[in-house]
Amino acid sequence: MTALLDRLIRAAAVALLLALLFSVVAGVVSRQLNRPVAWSDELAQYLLVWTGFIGWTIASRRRSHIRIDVFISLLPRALRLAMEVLIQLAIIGFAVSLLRWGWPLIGRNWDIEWVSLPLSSALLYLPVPFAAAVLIGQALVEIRLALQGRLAAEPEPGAQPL
Amino acid sequence: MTATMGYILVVWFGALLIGVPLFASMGLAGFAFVWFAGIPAGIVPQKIAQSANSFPLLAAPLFILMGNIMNSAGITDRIFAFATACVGWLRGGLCHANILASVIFAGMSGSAVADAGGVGTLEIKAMKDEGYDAETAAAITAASATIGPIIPPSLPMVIYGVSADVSIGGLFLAGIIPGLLMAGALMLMVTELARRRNMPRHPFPGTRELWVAYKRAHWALMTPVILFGGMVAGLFTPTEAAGVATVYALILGLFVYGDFRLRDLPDLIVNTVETTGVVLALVMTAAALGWCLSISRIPQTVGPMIVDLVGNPLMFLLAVNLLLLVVGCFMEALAAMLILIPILTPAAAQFGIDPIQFGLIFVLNLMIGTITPPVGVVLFVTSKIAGISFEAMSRAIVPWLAPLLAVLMAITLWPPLTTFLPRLLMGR
Repeated sequence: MTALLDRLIRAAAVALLLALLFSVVAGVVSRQLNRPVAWSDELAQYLLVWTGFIGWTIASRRRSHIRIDVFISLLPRALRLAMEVLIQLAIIGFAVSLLRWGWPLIGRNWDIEWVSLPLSSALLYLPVPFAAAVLIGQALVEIRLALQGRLAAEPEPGAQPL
Repeated sequence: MTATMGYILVVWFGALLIGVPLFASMGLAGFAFVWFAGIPAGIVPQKIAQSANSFPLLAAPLFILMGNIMNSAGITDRIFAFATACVGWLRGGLCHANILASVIFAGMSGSAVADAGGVGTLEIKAMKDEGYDAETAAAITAASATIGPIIPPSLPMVIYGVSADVSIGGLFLAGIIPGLLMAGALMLMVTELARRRNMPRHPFPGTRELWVAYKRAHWALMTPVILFGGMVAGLFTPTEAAGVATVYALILGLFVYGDFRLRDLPDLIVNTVETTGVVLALVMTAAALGWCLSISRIPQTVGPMIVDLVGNPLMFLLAVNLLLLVVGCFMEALAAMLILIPILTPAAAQFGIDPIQFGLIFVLNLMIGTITPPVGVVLFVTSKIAGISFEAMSRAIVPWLAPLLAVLMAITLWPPLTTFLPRLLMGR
């Protein structure tokens, strides 16, 4: 199940980023050819929102989101595991709020069209519930790990951005 | 509402310190604020999604992708070989080559980690092979990697520009002089060290060799030319430059150099999207929290307080430097940036500090933060590559902070170092 989900997310990531790249370059090329297309910027920006949320879920699956663990790593193991459960509950709290108040945005924006293409503005909010659901699922996995007394492996520092 | 937000920020700061991922704690703080303030909660997910619906921010995934392609397309080793041919014959030549390669690579990548992990891998290996100790090799690599996001293109500058509403093109131009100064300061230090320790030197390879090395690297060296040429000539925006340069890097890797295979692309893209996700999760939730902050009028309250407290712009800049350096020791650069922008930039504006100069000071401080222990991403990467402990790496880096801090002081005290090029080329 998770393997299937991971493959789905991977495929989506590749498709979205390639489409984003294509859209940005199409904007430049078409302008140089004096036939500028109207949709390139808007499409690329929507794709960025989607890419962002998909990346959000990948980073969550691979545990590479930024957190400060200098202090928590000083704690004794039992306390640290308890803290980990608490931290994951905080993530669930956020993700549930995101789901609860993000979901209605889809319906509310359904009838509003893009400027350049006959598509719905609700597309902007479509990945919100999906990302929230993956965040909740991953947090539950981490809680189970912590309750079994296991600490998840540290992420590779190379995955971090700047 | 200001008081409510004050309490929320205290709780949020506690959550931050106990290790709640930053995106979750910022998002929760946002939800908590709208809950207590009686604002419809839909605004938080809306701000989160809308903040990524941004044209300048598109440059983020594209620059990350470009750096990743550069690193795996055999472009880095050509650049390092060229740098070695240029300055390798000086005393302590590989140290100089290390810095020069980082400068060239800085012109095509926007991240210190990409520099340390890409061209850094080659640099450390070559230096160890020639008998330099691993600590020196790793320290110079880490120190020169910080040039990567100062010389454009630059991922931190894109994030700064989007979050603080400053021209990204302006920040890019402003980074050129400080970046070259950093390289110069580091090379000065290498020269002195090489004389004292009597480091190895090669004979001058001859102009013929130099020409061969240049020809091997020619197409790779054209990347910054395309990037800047296109931007300065007004053919494309920084975002579009990122797209064009990514396609150029792909063509180089796939067809011209042939070191890159199409089947490597999916993994590389997934890693790019992962890094993008880490960046955007913070940018998006910080935007939501930033909106709450401005509604609560915290910046308008804290700004004048800072102004009253500090008194004059110079003292303010020095205090900001100190704050950012300390914060940079304990916090990821991106996180520190997004947290402190809404607090510090209004105060800087009140003092009449040029937003571009302030941006450069901000970014340079946090890049120095990536090579200061205990939390220094670049130090983690270089210590791993060099095969030394993080403690040894932390000790080795200390002397190399001096030249970088000197440049930081210079751009703090003398604004034209950062404001001259943007004014000249953008007429602001």
